[in-house]
Amino acid sequence: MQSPYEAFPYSVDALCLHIERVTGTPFNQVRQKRQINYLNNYLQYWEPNQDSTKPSHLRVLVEHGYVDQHYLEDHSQYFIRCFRQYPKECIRFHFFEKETIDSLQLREFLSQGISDEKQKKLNEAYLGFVVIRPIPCTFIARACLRPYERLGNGNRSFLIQRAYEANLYGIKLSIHSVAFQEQDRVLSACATSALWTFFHAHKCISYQQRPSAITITKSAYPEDSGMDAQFPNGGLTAEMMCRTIRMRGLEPRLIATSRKSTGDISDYSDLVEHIYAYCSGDQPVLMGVSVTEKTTPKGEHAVTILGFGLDETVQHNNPNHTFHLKAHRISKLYIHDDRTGPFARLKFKNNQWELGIDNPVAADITFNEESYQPADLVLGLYHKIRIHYTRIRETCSSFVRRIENIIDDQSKDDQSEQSRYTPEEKDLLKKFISDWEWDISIQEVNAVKKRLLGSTILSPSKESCLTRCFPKYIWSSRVSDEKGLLFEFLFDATDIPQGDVFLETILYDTKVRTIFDSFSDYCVKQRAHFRNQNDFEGVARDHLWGMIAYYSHKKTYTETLDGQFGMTKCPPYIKSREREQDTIRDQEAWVLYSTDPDVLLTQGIKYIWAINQDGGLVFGQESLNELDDFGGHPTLTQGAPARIAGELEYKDGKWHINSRSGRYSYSYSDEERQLYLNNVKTKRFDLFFRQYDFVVDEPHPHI
Amino acid sequence: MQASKTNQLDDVLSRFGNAQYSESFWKAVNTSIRQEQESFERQEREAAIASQKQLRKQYTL
Repeated sequence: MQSPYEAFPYSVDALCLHIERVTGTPFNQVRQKRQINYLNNYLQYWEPNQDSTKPSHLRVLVEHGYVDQHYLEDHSQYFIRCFRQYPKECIRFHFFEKETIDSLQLREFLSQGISDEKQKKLNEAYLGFVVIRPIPCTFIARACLRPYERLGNGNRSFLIQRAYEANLYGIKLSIHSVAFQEQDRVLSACATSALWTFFHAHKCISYQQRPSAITITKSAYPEDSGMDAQFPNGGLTAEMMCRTIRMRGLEPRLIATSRKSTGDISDYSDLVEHIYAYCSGDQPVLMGVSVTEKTTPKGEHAVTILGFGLDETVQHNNPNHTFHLKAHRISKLYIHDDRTGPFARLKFKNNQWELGIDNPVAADITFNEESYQPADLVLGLYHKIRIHYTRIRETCSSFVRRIENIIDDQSKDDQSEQSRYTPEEKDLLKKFISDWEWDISIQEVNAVKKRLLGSTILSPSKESCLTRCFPKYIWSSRVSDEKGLLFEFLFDATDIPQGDVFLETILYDTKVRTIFDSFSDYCVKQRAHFRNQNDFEGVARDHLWGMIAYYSHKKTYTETLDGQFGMTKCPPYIKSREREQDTIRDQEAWVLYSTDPDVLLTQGIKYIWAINQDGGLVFGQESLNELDDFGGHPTLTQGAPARIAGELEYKDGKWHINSRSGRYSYSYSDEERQLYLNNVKTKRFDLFFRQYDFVVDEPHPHI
Repeated sequence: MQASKTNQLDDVLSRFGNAQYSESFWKAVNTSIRQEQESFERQEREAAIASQKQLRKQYTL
């Protein structure tokens, strides 16, 4: 009887022997297989012992009789009908670093249990797993391997990762990765495998919704297809890939990046800009490539892009654009390539993308001098993302052009009185603006708010940014110079193309404040002039108009009241004497919106007041004991929201106003309370009761 | 030298004020906008044609 598990020091030969036995693939074929070669090199990263004559420090644990969800689906719908009986059970290799486990130790864990400390240690050393399906030659059913640490999400690289759990006889092992699958050449060709990985990496596709290879391929074919037999599958077209994406509830979008001659810098720019914009927002991207070996074309291939590496020293500028994009620093792409392996590296070199592995200890790995020429990208987006990258890039570009126009307008060549800048100063300003680096990416609102929470923001206030209701997806356009972040534009990615789209400008550095003040002035004073000149027949290419509308926006009455008297809030509690038969008592208070000659104040009475939702001054009398008919502030408003409240009393020849109210003034700082109270005096009491003298008392520290 | 440049930039930025909005300014702005729009529409047309061509390409490797 086969032992349910085996554990041994890692060796590629031992691995190949197991695969040969399970799949029936001859040992030499397994040993020479490109993906096995890649896997062997990939694992060397964690191998401290580079002397191949000594035993490895890595450990392999083989789990026999493993049932893989997707292979089981493929098996039950296809392989079971073959004359030859293919088993439904797979084997699973688990990899560990640092000599963490052997057969005896595992036996001990399984017989006596495993302590939390040992489980933690095992998890820390866990490098992931590879599932081998029992069919010849194309046997890698699923590989979840830990990516190299330096590919993690820092300033120089980005990688999409999802949480995976492996349960080894009750021992929970976890890893962050994206699953990889080799095409089986029966149910899947490269496009199906790329889609399989794409769905694994996509945030909107839950664990249960991830389709198997056979489901992906079947859904790619239309109902009335007159095409060739689906299986064995010979590959999918871009159109079929888009159909599969739509079947999973996502919106496909095809972007042709290769329109001109090979190696055109515009092709490169379009490609990396789209990859950066979507991938850094945690959206995987499918890429169609033409494969060339030396100079010989080999065919068309599909891969999934999961991340990229940036080279701080490289700047590939697109001559069509006047501004720098961080995306142009992309020098490497990290892809799941079913012909190669997980997290394979495409490096941009001599206007070509060279395939390799980003592992310094395996630098000599080669792939027959192959290069990939990207042809198109396929996106699968959440259905509410309606505004695409190019419109946002064009808006940012238009903003830069308008600022340059303003600089030109302020720098007349004739040095007249209107000229604000000398030619040298004009050049300095233009250089400052052209050196800005734009970082444009799509982000989920929660990710944006989490980032803003940890940032130092000049304006608007951090609180207003964080508490404002934003759409689920936002285009963020962050602008930096060599010293750091300057400002950020936020755009609504869910709006329609003819909508305003622009949401907010966030300032991080004071030195750009004057630029925005000037731009705002330009928007307010010349809005009509600007808009009337743009009589386009179609939809404008950008959303600069949304930006102009934002800067020329005039405060509404409610926004003015919010600034003068604070925002409305409900009382946090009601006292028992303020309730009567389960309703809040109403003391029929005076509500003033202007002067009323019939309303007079009487000395000796202690009044209470509140500013209601509409800015009206509400006032009445305060309850002094349990027996009188009045109550606290909620009895002025019947519990309705109000902005600020307080007391009014005649003392020493004047009417004294304070902001003592535990129901309506409790949430303000001393400075805010003082500001609002002064406004209540000047804009309400002084105006409405011109015959009396009012003074503001110092804010009470505890209300 | 670097500090002097920084100070000069700060000074220039602090004087960045309200624009003059001369006729020539608006003429330049609107010519520029029109050209950008036309260029963008041309690129979008090219992209749409290229995408249509790519739709039928089969990935077989």
